[in-house]
Amino acid sequence: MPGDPVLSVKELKTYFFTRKGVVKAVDGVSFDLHKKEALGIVGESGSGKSVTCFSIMRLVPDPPGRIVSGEVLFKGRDLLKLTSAEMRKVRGSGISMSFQDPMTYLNPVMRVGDQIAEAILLHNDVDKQKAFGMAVRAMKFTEINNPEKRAFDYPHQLSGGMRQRILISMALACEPDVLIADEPTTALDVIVQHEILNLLRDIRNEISTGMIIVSHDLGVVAEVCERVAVMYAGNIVEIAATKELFENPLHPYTMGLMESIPRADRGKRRLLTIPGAVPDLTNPPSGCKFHPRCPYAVAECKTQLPPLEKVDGGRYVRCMKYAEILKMRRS
Amino acid sequence: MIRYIIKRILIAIPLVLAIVCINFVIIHSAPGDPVAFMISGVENATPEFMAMKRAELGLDKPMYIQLLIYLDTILHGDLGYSFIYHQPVADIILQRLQATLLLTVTSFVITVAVGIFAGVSAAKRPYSRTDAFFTIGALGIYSMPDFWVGLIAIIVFSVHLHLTPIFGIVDPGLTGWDYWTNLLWHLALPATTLGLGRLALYSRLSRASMLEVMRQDYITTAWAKGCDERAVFYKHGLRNAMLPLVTVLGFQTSFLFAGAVLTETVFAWPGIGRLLYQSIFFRDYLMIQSLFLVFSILTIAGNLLADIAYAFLDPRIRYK
Amino acid sequence: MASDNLRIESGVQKAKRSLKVQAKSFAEFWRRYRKNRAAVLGLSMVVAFGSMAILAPIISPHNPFEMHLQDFTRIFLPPDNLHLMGTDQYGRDVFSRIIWGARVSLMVGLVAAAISAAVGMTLGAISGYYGGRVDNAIMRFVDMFLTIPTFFLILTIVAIFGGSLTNVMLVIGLTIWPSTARLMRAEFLSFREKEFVQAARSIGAGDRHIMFREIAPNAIFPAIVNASLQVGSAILTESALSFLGLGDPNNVSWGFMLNDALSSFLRAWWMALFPGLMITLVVISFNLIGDGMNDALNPYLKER
Repeated sequence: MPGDPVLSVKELKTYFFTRKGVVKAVDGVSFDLHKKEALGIVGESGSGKSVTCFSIMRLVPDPPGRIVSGEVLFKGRDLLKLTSAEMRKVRGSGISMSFQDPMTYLNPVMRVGDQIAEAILLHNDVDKQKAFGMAVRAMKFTEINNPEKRAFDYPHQLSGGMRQRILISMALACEPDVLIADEPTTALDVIVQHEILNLLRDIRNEISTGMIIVSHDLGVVAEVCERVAVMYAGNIVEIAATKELFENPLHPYTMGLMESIPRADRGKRRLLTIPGAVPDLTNPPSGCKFHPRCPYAVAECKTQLPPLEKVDGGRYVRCMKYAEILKMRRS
Repeated sequence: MIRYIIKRILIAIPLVLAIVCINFVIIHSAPGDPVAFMISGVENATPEFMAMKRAELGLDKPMYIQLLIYLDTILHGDLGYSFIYHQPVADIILQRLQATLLLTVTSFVITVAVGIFAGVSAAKRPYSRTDAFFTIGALGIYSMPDFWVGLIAIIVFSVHLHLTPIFGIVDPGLTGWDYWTNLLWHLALPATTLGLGRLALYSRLSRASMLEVMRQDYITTAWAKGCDERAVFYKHGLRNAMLPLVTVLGFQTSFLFAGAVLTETVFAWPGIGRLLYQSIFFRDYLMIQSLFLVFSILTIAGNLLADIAYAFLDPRIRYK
Repeated sequence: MASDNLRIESGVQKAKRSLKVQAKSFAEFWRRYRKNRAAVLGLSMVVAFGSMAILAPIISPHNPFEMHLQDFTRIFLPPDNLHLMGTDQYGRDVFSRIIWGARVSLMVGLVAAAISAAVGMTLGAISGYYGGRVDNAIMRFVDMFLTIPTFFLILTIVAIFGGSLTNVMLVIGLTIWPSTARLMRAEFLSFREKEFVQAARSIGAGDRHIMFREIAPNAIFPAIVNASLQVGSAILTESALSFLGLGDPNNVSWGFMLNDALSSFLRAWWMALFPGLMITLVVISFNLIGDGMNDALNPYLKER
């Protein structure tokens, strides 16, 4: 994974201007993604993870949302500065996205093969037949059985798992450099989830596309990603290699998350919840947004938002006290 | 899908039968001699004819037998005889049916085309000032009585502006190209006023349908693929928005024919609508009933066509 | 028995509470309705037309039935100071006829809508609440009604049985109820499973109590909106019938005035313009009220 990042997000801020106030959905998010890397973004609903992805794709609905500041560098160009026409060329072929609910995200009156072929036709100079053939190949790549026949089906004729594969193949059809998968398993039942996760792992191994997997489910992200970013209230609070994050979380929020999920490697324990509630994003807490719920908070935490500090190679934390906390826990 | 169509046809048939029965019930519960309802222009009929009819209809037999006789007569296409026009009723109706179909089909096409166009354009810029203006305008037009619009239109366009002829379908004595252009000239105003109220309704519906569809998730997918505005709006948006609109079309057919009666009366258009008006005027009960039957069948046929069209458009019905 | 006392007391308490809740929610509803300018306009228009209808004998400048046949100086007069809207082919003052015509239109509209509401709401409630076979049967009936072209049915019946006002009101009312029934049924179906209904049932409330006291106050609103819109369409239907000559010639009806206009409108445009204009305005006002009520009941739909 060495080399320059294929995608580099710097201090991205996306706000929603509503009648009830300004919702700071994404309030200064930065991360890098490299080729062949799978980065997971986890967080509760409202943490800003989906909005981050939509911002990268510039699909944030313009009223009421707007990307207020920041940079999204993709292969050297800042996507936020492109014209609509230029951005259209990037969408679907440079960076593409697959979505959460495969039933509602597929056009019910178009054959699935045609929907995939449409993506191909938009970005490649080929004729319809060739595009359809390429679509079938994309379906084969996502391990759909009998793709030549399935391509003529309509979404309602397919199962949930197959529909999600269709969405993924639509996203991969033009061999993008970055694939963003938004909650790829949330709308599926457990057995199918497992299959999709396997698929994502296979994809990660076979092609050089960088992947961002967004989920509220830590387990999903643990299965596929090498690095994980944890988001809270519009900021990334910790980025670490997956193993490190699970074994040795540094941010109090991450620690809380780890205590709250059942884990096979920790034996039987009580599951703890993080006290308090997710903050109102129109009026977030001052300073560190987690401070009202943090068991280690001190006076400083209320006054300034801690920066995302580098801990060591590839590891970042947004907490002023992480070193002390670590010492406290070790003793 | 074939099963769907057959099912629809099978529903339509008992409906037609039900209407024939309703007709029968009306004839026999109305005040007066039932035979008078079976003959047009009863005053001109000879007593022998009346006696013959009486025997034919079995008016002395029990009710259910009379009903069966009546059903049988209707199913053979015998709608009775008119002493006013001195022709079988079925013939009279058939002669005038063309004019009505010409008027209604033209009006239908105008309503659908303009309605969808207006609705889609409004959906492009929702909640804007022009949008609000058109919504109010649509409400106003939709509240107007169909026939009144026709009257006013004639006053404005024909009398004052001399743009269109006042009455009738075509001037006599024309042939070939002249005939057709003259026909179209006569058709313009009635066809436009016939649909006006429903056009307003339809444009509001198509706007609502478009707005609903554009909020759907698969539109986001289309944008994410890199589609441009045209593709998103038409290929993904309109194609889906059409479905509920087609369903409404079926429902509209009854209003279409009701409006035809009123419009033909205003414009003296020689169709079965005008015939109905004249029958009311002459108290020609037989004709009124027969037209009730014919209009009902036309409406049911229209509904059926709309259902079939829907089946073609929605793959969820086409494939199981 | 003690349990009966408990039931009765809860019933009374519940009635009191539900009335209070209803009063509060009505005040809420009225507040929201008042904010909508178009809806308020509609309501004022209806009040204006209603007053016009009631006060007709007092405010009408001429006798609407007074004819001056053969008097060429008084027939087909264009609007002027004496006859604000001109006179018709019999020399009758159009303006007075317009004022009196409001009576017929409003009465037919309101009564027909009321009949439709009564029949539709009852059948819809029963259908939605009991479900199963009863529901199927009623819905089949409704579907049949919906596919029969109602205008022609009304026309035929009125043509044959006579066009008296009572007939017209009854026939219209008895043919437009299906849409109300459908709405009511949908509401009852959804409310049937809600918690407060289950709660009422668990303390022993009977079916009728649940239907009338628990569900109906909530379910009734869409049906009322629908009823308002039906007044408008009933008025249009009545005017269409009168236009075709099926109305009551003894009463002054706007539709009938347009029938008179049919033979003379080419030289007396005022005979055509004013009656139709009045019909349009009345229908618009009921539509505005209906839309206004709809918006007031669903405030969340408007705020995106």
